[in-house]
Amino acid sequence: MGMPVELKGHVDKVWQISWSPTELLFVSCSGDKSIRVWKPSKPDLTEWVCTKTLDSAHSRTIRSLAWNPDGNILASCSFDSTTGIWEKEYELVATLEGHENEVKCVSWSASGTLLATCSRDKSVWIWEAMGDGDFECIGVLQEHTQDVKSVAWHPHEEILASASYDDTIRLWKDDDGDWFSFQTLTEHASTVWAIDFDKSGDYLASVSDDQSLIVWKRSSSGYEVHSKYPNLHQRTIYSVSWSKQNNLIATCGGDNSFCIIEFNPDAENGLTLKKRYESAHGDSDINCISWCPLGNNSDLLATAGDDHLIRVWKIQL
Amino acid sequence: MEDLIHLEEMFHEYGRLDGIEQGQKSGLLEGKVLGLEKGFDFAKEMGYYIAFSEHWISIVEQNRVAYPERTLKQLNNLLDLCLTFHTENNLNIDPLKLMNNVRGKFKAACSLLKVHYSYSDTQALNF
Repeated sequence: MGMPVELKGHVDKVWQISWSPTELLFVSCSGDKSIRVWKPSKPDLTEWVCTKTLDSAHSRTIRSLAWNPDGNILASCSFDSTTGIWEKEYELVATLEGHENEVKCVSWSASGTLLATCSRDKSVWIWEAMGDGDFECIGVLQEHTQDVKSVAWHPHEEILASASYDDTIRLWKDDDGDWFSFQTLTEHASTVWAIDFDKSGDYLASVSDDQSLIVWKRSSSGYEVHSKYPNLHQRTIYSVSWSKQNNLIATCGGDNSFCIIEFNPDAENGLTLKKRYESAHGDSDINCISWCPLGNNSDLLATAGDDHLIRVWKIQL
Repeated sequence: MEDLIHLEEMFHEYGRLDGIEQGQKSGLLEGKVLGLEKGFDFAKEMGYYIAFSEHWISIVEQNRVAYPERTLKQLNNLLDLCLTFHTENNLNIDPLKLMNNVRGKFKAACSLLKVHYSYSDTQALNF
């Protein structure tokens, strides 16, 4: 079997996949309330197997997953309004409660000490990991006026970005224990579905229901629009992944396709579409796209779709 | 003669000016009543948070080791925010944004205390 490899196992929409930062494996979560762990079973990576299924923790759809930077703690968040913390060979060690309803996204800070979650209740929560599965809430940020879709930490600093149904991205930082929003990015014309920083943190990519991709550049006063790719997809763009090994950005969405875009920071409008993969999951929406973070496998890309499938692609440009 | 020709427009204009004046008067009253109601709702909710934080501050102070270190700071922040909440009109302050900040602090405090409380005013609709 060649590329892409098709991974069957979930029995409902697959919402997200998260690559381990330290070894060649990833986890996926689904509307079937389970988390699956996938590993390659052949050295040429043409066959992947599900080595574990975790299905006892959440009572509703699991929407998002995130590995901590050391790759030994996994966080999962669910429409059941809780966030699960998994350690030591996938043992559920903690359940974080607080959100009023569906938790949409979870993200670890670069140091692995802070965890952010966001929800349909319009709030973003920041938790500090105290060790031994103990988490303390250090902030509840209620400035978005709608459903918060996605959260992402800066790759080095304690700066958090959140994207919302209110069409904005907010940037947060800490001032003596008090988290506040220091900037609101308002360029998108509709729901901002996902955000991802580049490896330096000087650039931030965002994708939206307005079918555009925007790359923001950091300046002394905050993040500003650097490049814009309007009408990149024909429908809502749901997910964006910025490779941590190079300047390739991958996007996917409701038009059943995914795109590989190269970013050149020195060009005035530095976004070039390198390749578009049509009908990558047949006629199903593609919910998530993610580059493998490992240097030796940086050409691997995984996509997750409404067709219950995950596909692993080897991208050659 | 000239006046007679423009009679209709003239009275139309008089009527318009009268309408503006009347509208301002009744609008002012309506605004006052709405402001009073909203202000009352805000103060009621704020009072709940003040009582909550004062009560829990006294409990935590008696047994500090039983709670995370930042609990007391969070509660005091909440109390301060409530006590310093503006009680006069100030167009430079967005009261709803400030209120949401207070609500966030309250939720964070509840999480640290590991208690489930929520302020509810059955007549309030929050969107």
